[in-house]
Amino acid sequence: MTLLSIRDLVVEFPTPAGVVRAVDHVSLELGFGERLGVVGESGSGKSVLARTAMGLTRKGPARISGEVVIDGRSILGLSERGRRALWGREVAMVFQDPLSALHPITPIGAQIAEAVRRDPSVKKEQAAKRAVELLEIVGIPQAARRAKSRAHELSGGMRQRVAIAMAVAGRPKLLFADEPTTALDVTVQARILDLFDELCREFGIGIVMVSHDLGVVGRHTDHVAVMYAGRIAERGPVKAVFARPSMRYTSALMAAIPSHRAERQTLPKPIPGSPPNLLAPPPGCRFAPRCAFATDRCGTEQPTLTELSGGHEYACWHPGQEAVR
Amino acid sequence: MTDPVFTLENGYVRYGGGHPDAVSGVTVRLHKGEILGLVGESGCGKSTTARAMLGLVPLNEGHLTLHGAPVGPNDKRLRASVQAIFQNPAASFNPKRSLLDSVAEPLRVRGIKDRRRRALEELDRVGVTEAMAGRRPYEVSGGQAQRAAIARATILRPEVLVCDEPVSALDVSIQAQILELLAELRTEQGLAMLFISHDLGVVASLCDRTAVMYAGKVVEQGAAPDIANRPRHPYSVALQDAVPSLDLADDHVPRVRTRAVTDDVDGRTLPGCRFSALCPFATDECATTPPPLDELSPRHEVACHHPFAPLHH
Ligand SMILES: Nc1ncnc2c1ncn2[C@@H]1O[C@H](COP(=O)(O)OP(=O)(O)OP(=O)(O)O)[C@@H](O)[C@H]1O
Ligand SMILES: Nc1ncnc2c1ncn2[C@@H]1O[C@H](COP(=O)(O)OP(=O)(O)OP(=O)(O)O)[C@@H](O)[C@H]1O
Ligand code: SF4
Ligand SMILES: [Mg+2]
Ligand SMILES: [Mg+2]
Repeated sequence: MTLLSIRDLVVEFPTPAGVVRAVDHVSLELGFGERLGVVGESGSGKSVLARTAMGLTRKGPARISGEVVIDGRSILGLSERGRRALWGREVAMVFQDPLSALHPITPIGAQIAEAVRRDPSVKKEQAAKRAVELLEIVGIPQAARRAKSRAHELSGGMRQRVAIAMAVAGRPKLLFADEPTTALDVTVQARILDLFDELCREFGIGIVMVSHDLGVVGRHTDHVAVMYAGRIAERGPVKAVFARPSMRYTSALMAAIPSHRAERQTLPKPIPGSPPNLLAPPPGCRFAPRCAFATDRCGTEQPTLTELSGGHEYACWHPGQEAVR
Repeated sequence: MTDPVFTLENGYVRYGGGHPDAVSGVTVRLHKGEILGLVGESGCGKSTTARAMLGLVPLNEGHLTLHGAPVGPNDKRLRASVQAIFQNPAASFNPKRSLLDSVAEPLRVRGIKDRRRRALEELDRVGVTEAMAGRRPYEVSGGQAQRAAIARATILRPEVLVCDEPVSALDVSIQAQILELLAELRTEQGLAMLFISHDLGVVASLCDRTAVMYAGKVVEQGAAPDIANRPRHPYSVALQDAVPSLDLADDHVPRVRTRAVTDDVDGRTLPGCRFSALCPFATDECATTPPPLDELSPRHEVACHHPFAPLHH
């Protein structure tokens, strides 16, 4: 069963300098209880993609085409009210900065209870009890006592757990997490990621996790989409893609990551140049100006997604694992 | 081993307000042509250590030495020999001035002639073109601004560079470029560096040695590959275990599971080992007696009563 289906999504922002196409004909699918990682350099369109998929991108300032369907319901055509009804119940989001999601004065237990009560069948007393349960589920010690704390009294890792408890309070089917652990210590990050894994396993929640950390995505998602300049460069089962990166940008991105298990100093390899200006992207392969393997064809003709093996697809005229010649 | 160029000896920093010392009894020794990585969780005292070494916060105890001789925090020699780069380069420049002017500033202060040419030369060396040099800090990318910050730090040919999270705000490919540049400065100019990062991969790939801090103290110190692959302090092991490895062949079974505690404990307030509340190997001794930083093998020091060995499994 398909939980999330994105078809041919295009998101453009008209600006005084021209039109920025942040998401350029993206298609993706995700099943119930599955985890999708979205990776790519800064500005590649990861956040715009995630925000648009959950109906957060406003249509006035942005031009949107294509289709987003969550559990059989089309998102893009919904009214403001329709979308609000969806948030928290069907889809929820966890951001990099948990403070932005939490109220500074209201005790965290009351905030979670309020989120629980988005389901009108839940009574007030039940909601308070459920809030404490949720705090236990996300691993907050002494949950009943902690429920009375305010956001600023908690450490960064605790706050992120509370934000996750809030996000799952309405039992959403789909969770979008935009760099949920980037601001946290690695040890805290590890616990949050284990928690995500558990939520998928136990409750069948689907997760779309945006991250710049390939290790996080490699270890904690099932599928990955690599974005470059608004387009899908490569996608597929995460193990297949990272074992055999084929679009040369994926290979270059992997070579640019420093290894924390190095036995000798081995510096990561920089990708030459910088990402394209989205106001005037290169006509052929978006990566061609930076690619060590580019030919004339790459400069003029846009590569389309080609299947390598079971669901592993890449968009490249000269696929391979090497990043440099 | 040669004598260190620059050291912090047994440094203590107290910010006051009734809080425990941010840094207590930390010794950092920097050698010519060597990069020392400093890692540890948020709030453990990495930046405070850096600020103390730059003379930016006073030491409550301990002192700095330059070529073996004590040097005060306001000493001119410290200013000339020790320079710094930080996480957010754009914010460390005057927003109204061009990168060129900012890089030439240290020359002006010292009344050195031929400033424009020398600043352009230094910028060119770190990969900032003349066209770029005329721009203001907010008109260039984060990578370009960090290059300019490095040029400003190196233009007076210091011996020591203190880098506090210099690549943390940069995208991976730009991060890789800056790491290359720092490695070059080490090899070509023989700079001694302190390199603070929360990214263990960055530290393992760039640094010669690594020091691990926990709750205001250095708990382990050794060759970078040893700290990355054969850590001995339980905290270092837990830290390395927590990094999700991109190497999918790496099976990654956590070696140390920290104890779940019922409340946030500030390790700095514990009488014994500061990690004892979380450490799965802690004994009564750990709760009462602080472990000294001992040499376990040549140039590998660990502060632990029960250093981790694979036998612990
Ligand atoms: N409201 C907007 N108006 C104009 N351009 C926008 C707007 N929102 C995003 N963009 C542009 O769209 C592109 C994609 O942005 P997005 O935030 O999705 O990148 P990202 O991949 O999430 O990057 P990062 O890793 O830095 O978070 C960028 O070039 C950005 O400047
Ligand atoms: N200016 C200050 N005044 C008071 N306390 C401070 C100040 N700067 C830091 N501290 C405290 O000192 C301790 C060490 O902070 P420090 O900034 O050195 O940590 P860090 O290891 O650099 O952390 P991070 O990884 O978050 O940068 C923390 O408890 C912090 O709250
Ligand atoms: S299509 Fe060409 S330019 Fe693009 S990544 Fe592949 S080889 Fe490089
Ligand atoms: Mg983003
Ligand atoms: Mg710091």
